Amino acid sequence: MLEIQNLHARVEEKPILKGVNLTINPGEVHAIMGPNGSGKSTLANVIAGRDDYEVTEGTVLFEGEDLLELAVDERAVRGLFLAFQYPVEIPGVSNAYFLRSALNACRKASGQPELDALKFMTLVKDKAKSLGLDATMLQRSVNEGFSGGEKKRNEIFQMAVLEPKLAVLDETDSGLDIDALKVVADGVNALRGRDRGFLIVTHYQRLLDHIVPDFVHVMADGRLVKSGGKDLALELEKKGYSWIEEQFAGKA
Amino acid sequence: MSAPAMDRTLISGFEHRDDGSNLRNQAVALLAGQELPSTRDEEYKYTPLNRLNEVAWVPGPSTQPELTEWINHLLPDVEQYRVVFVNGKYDANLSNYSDLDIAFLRDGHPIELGQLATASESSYEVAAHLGRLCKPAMPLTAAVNTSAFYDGAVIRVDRKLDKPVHVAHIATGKHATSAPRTLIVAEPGADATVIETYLSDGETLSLPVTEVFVHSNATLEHIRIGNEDLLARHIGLVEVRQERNSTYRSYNIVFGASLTRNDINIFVAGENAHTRFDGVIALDGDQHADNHTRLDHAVPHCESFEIYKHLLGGKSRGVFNGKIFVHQDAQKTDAKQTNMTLLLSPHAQVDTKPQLEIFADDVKCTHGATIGQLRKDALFYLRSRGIDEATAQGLLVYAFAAEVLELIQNESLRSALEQMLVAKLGTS
Repeated sequence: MLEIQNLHARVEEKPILKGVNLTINPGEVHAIMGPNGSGKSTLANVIAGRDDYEVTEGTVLFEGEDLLELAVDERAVRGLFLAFQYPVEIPGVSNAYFLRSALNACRKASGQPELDALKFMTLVKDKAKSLGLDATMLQRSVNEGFSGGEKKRNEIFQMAVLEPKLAVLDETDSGLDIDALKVVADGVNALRGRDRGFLIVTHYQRLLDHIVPDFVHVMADGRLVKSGGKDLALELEKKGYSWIEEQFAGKA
Repeated sequence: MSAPAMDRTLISGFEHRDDGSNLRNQAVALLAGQELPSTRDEEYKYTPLNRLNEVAWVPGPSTQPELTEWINHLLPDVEQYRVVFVNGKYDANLSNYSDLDIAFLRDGHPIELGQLATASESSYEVAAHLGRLCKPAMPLTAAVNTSAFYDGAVIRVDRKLDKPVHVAHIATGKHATSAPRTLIVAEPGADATVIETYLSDGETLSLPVTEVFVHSNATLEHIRIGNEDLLARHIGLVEVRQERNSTYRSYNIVFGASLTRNDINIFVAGENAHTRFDGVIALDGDQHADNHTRLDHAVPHCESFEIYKHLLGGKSRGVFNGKIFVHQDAQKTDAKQTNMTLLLSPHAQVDTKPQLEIFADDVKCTHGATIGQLRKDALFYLRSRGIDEATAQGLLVYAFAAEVLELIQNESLRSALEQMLVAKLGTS
């Protein structure tokens, strides 16, 4: 469903991605690990369409369509979801209003009828509860005054409501204690299915104890330098990233 | 540059009513030598008063429009006691307050709602209040209004009201002037909401004056909505006096008119009084709105909060001047003022001037002003969930104003104002 070929991207004049190749098929969970500054988050944000980055080379196809030609919201309504590393606070817009607008935009794009406020509330209340979010948060402003953990759970909650085809999680585990991490992982695992793909960007292996990936890739200096199964994550945890960097430097 | 000749044009556009009362006499006498302020005057530095000089104004004609023409602008979904004035004259046909059970005075006798022109100055309640806050010696608006007003509402409340009183002023007719006059008296223990709406169907000029007394232990919510035609001019004056333990909440909403200049002056005369005075000003095209507020903390132990928000599109211009005076005796004052502006176009402009003058030494006073554009990260966040760009912008703009509108207690009124804002933003 996602095919990335030779993707190069830069921010201002600085190249960050230097030829990324990655294919994700429906039902697969891919994890990207790597040291800080290797380009993991850049990749996640380029896929979502953040315009701070300029793609200089390469292609990204999503279900056969040129993703890079689509606006941010057009990507979203086609089933792409980014769970933010730093979810944004939006005072004055309630979570309920925001999420219903988003859901209805997605439903409209796929030819489904829009949901009224009542049907929407029925749908979301249970999902909020399963993520340990109090239903009163729906009336509060988007992420405003939320703790770090609440913000991350809210991202997973939005994902559960929008049911994307491909979800990209950008360091969703950062800043979470072990209980919150488990809640987030349970939320992701509940959505795993043969039609849905996941790309999980993380610095640490511990999230992958709970969300067991099908593939693990290591990113260094803007490229995926090593790929493997879930054991690769354990190896990285044990040995750190330096051996990858050394090996990669030796190859270059 | 000598004083512009527009003064005469403006003053002759009103019918001055010399009924022999002291109030009128003083006003008429003042007008003889009156000049419009110019931009050299600090208080009018940014106000394009030349927009008052562009047409030959005439006194607004007597006319009785059909309710159907205006009902959509009269907050139809808000349960209300409605009192309507057309070009400053009371219109029984458009008004609807039949079950209002509060007492007012006319010629010394209790009536339901008074028409100022027929409530003689000798009647006790009116005499005790009318013109007491708004002295004709004050700026031109006061003098012109006091010499020219015809009818006016006297809203005297002495209990908790079950629904808002809505005083609507309709200006109609080519180049028509009107001088709406409203007197609001919240007696001790009263709890009421009074809405003032200003409407127009073309190039009209309104010089409204509202005097507000909030007596001890009274609570008054006062919503003033400027929603006139985009060719209209509106020069308004609101004078408020608060007594001990009173609460006054003012919401100043400006969506309409080519030129708006409002002066809202609040004098807090009694201890333990609470004041909240906020504004939402949404402009586009070449609209100009100039809002000056002044709050005097004259006594100790009072608190005041003020938030003015501008949403400026097109080539519009907003001006905010917020004065807070903390008098020498007003120890333990807690005053907070905020002015925030969202510039929605590269050609929109705002001038903001907080002005705190503090003569007491044990007080807490803060002020702040911000000017910005829509947050890029928030736009990206909304769009990343599938919300299209225009809708996402609308949501953020609306959210900016909602912080103020959400404070309005009456739910149907709040929702009506939210809809008006959405409609206003949709056209810009």
